[in-house]
Amino acid sequence: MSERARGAAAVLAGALLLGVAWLVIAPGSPPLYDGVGFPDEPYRYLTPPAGAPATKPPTSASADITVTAGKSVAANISTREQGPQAAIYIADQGLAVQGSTGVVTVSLSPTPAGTRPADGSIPGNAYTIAASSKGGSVAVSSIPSAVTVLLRVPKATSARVAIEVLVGDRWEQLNTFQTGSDVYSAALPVLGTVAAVLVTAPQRAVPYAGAASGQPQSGGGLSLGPLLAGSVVLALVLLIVGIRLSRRRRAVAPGPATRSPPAAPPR
Amino acid sequence: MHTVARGVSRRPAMGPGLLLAVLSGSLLLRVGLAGAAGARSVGAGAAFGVLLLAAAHAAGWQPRRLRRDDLAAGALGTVLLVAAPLGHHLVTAGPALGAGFGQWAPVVVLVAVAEEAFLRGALWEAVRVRAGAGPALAVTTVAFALLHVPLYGWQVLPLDLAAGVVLGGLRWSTGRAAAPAIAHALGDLAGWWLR
Repeated sequence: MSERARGAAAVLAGALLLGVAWLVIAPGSPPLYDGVGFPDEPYRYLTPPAGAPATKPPTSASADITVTAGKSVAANISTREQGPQAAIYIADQGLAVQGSTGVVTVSLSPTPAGTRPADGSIPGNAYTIAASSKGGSVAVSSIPSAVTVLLRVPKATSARVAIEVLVGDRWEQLNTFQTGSDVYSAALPVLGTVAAVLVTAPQRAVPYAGAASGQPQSGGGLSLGPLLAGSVVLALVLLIVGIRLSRRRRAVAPGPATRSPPAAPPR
Repeated sequence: MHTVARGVSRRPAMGPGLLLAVLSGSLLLRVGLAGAAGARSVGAGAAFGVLLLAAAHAAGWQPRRLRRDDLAAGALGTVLLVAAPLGHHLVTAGPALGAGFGQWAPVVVLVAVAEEAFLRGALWEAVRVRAGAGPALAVTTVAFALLHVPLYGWQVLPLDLAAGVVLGGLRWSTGRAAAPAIAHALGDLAGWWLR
């Protein structure tokens, strides 16, 4: 069998594997093999402001989460836009279900903001996070960061953004972290309606009673751990290559050169 | 690439182990530079591509003039890579197309070509001269699949393993990295419309 025929057989095998892989992977997986991830699609508003580009309506998401002895397993739920507009991460044992073993259905859906926050404005959509179980009531458990919500704002901004939760008819700030150029996250003390708020009030509003203390932090920059590790690995490779080349130079005997034609480089 | 100078046998300064170390280091740098932006970071993607191209060149890979069979094999590979997403796209509308194709596309092509120059060019040859084309296909396919995991998650592993076999098969059948580079770049670009 020639090399060309073997290669063609590999292509055929790969094509069959591709077909199988497409059947088994999760729907919505990226149809690409690398390159660079897609930029965000335009923000999908529930109520588009004047001048906003026409888009499809914002999406909802839900998931059934297994509960054992009243405690849920970990789960990620994201809306389906390119660059999800809302997502929640439920830690292991993040939801407490009264005396239940079975399934909790958690949903995340865009919702009208209703009351305007006292400390600013909501640039995008509000989202309602709800959970229901046949076994009994569902609540956020007491473990740290039991439920984390991530919200994308329509445009990256240098203004302060806080994720706020609607308590009664009042928006209350949560301790918010910037986790991307236009994405913010906060640990959620209760299930309910949340929104990312462009904070314009000169004074910080009273934070939610359950929120952790501390100032919002930016996490959108470099990740130092991988950066340092990568630099060290590449520096070591450079060092090894340098040593090898140096040894080869020293090993070259003086005298007339007998040079053979160079072999073909890797193709 | 083996050359002999003044009677001394020369092997490439970078064998498969060092090339895989370079790949790991470059990937870590990409992840670190991207931060929370992850795979969407154009700057980190571009830096990754430049690093891989430089490493491939240092290992002896050189670009060559395109041949007709490179183009034909690359086109065939593109069809295989996009067939399933195209079918899915025809029955399920994806997200709306955003702005930014002009900035996105060149970096996508750079990263795809750099990956092929490195994997199916330099690394393939480094493994092939030591162990043959079969192991070269296996090593480059696994490396290709694993390098996407930090950016896209484990769910891409089956798909990228299969895509790696297709791209490796193109390399094996044409004897050069050009065909998989064409298929890879066009397959990624098609993703803009097929998502």
